[in-house]
Parts: sequence; C-alpha cells; structure tokens
Amino acid sequence: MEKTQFTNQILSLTDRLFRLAKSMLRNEDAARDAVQDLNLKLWEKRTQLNQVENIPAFVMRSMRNQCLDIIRQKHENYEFPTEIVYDDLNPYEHTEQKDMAKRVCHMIDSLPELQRTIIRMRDVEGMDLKDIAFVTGISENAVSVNLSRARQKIRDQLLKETKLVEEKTWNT
Amino acid sequence: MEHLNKILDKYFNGETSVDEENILKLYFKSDQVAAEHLAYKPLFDAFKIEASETLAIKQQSKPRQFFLQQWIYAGSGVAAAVLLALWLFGSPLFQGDYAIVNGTRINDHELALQIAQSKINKVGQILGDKLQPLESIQTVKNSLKPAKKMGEIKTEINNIKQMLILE
Repeated sequence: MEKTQFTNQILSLTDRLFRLAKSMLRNEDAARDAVQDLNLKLWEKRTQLNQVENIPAFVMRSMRNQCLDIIRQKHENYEFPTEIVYDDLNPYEHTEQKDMAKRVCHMIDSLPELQRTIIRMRDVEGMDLKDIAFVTGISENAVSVNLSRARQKIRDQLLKETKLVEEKTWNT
Repeated sequence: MEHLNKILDKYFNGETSVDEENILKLYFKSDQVAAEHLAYKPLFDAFKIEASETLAIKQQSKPRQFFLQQWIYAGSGVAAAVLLALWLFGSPLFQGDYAIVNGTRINDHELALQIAQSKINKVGQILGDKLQPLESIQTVKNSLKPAKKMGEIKTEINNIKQMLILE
C-alpha cells in the first residue's frame, strides 16, 4: 500500500477509530494514544494491507482488539475512569435539550463494553450488522440481541428521567 | 404516525434496517416531532453530537497553544536579531545591489559586501569576548569534576568501612 492509498483508506478512518477507542476506554487521552499506536502499527505493516478485503472493518477490528489488550493489561475487567466531557451544542439549542442529550451520552457510557460499542457502531457510525459482527467477533444475531438490549436500557432510563422531570414540574 | 410507531418498536428491538433508522434520524432532527415521541429526541440528538466528534478537534487545543508559543518565541528572536543588527550596523539598509550606511548610499556591490562583512566580523568579535567568561566557567567546572569524584569515592569508602565494622 502506497502513502496516498494509506492516507485515503486508513487515515481517513482516524475519527471513527478515535470514537470507538474513546467509547471502549472511556478516556480521551488513552483513546488518542491508542489510535496513534494503531496507525503506526498499520503503517509498518502497510504492505500486507493490500490483501485485506474490507479495510474499514479490518481496521475497526484491530482498534477494538488493541483497546481490549489495553484494558486487559491494566486489569481484568478494568474500566478507565470516565473523564469524558461532552461538547456543547450550538448556543441556540435549549439548555434542557442539550443536557438531556449529554445525559444520554453518559447513559451509553454506563452500558457494558460490548453493548456500548455495538450501539455506537450502529447508531453513531451507521455500520451494518455484518461489519459489526466482524469487528466484535460475534454472530449477527448476537449483535442484534446486544443492540436491542442497549437501546431498550437507554429507552427505559430516558422514560424514567422524563417521568421524574414531569413529576417535578407538576409539584412546583 | 402509526408507521413511525412501528419503526420505533422495530428500532428498540434491534430489527430496523439502516434506511429505517435514517427515517428516524431525519424525523427527530425536524421540528415536527410529535409530543408522544419527544422523550426519544435526546437519544437521536446524542448520536448527532457523538458523530460530530473528531480527533483533530480534540487535539487542537493543546498543540495550538504550543504552536502559538513557538511563533511568539521565534518572532521575538527574529525581532531581537533585526534590532541588534540595526544598532550595530548603524541602520544599514541593503536593497538589491546597494547599501545605506549612516545615511550614505553605497552603490558599489563589492564595497557594500565588504562593509557588511566587517560589521559581521565585529559582531562575532563582540560575541566572542562576551562568551569568553562563560567558557572560563566551563573550564573551571571541568577542572573541579575530579575533586567531586574524590568526594563521592570518600563517601563510598566510609560506607564500606561501616559495613566492615558491622560485620
């Protein structure tokens, strides 16, 4: 793989890789380092990348495996402390709406690693189930099950919070 | 509305296609979200926020500061050098093949170069004189190095002596 090809096919995925690493590690600095390490590894092995059929899925899978290695190296079942700060929406958005969207980001962060990775790959990145199955190393059916569980958990939490807000409004 | 409810049910069961999910994304992005669906709007807003996040944006804050700092340092250095040169050369302005020294225009290319060279030599000499004390300090420091080693050796011998006494 030539330099131009590498830039077009691999480096163009950097933002996507960063979001995946950040979701898995729940730490921006660690995610940034992981992406840079992976890019370096891929550059060193660029000659072998020509044989890869689905480069985006392969690179995403490599990113996930690297993040899993990082988590394992730290400790078994270790989770990085959440240090993620979510960017504000534009100033014209309502504060309430902005806060709720941020709350959802935190709700997703609190899901088990596999579920939050899957929901983000599908709903944020728009990946198809086949590619998600390849990246996570599970069947498409298992992906659907995990996706459904993740979405239902978020929905339940959202409805619970909305109900609480409504009750609070009625009482005041 | 019924159609949207069906897609939403499918969505939460993990059974929607990418196209159906795009319909939901567009619907929740619009200003016409029905009251019964408003509770789900933050979910789609959150996806929108996360999708816009990039590594480049996050990286900008720190390096930009460093970059700016570098430019300030470099700019200060260049400005200082220019001021020093103007002060030392009596404001010579080299423009093409002539130079202006103390208000006098020198058109002869060779002569202008010679004047410039002599001024540069003068700067070198001044800098050399100024740096000499620093070199002397370094020489003294180097000469003191063995003495410092002697101190370390002495401490080491004392430690060994103490160990032998203890044994």
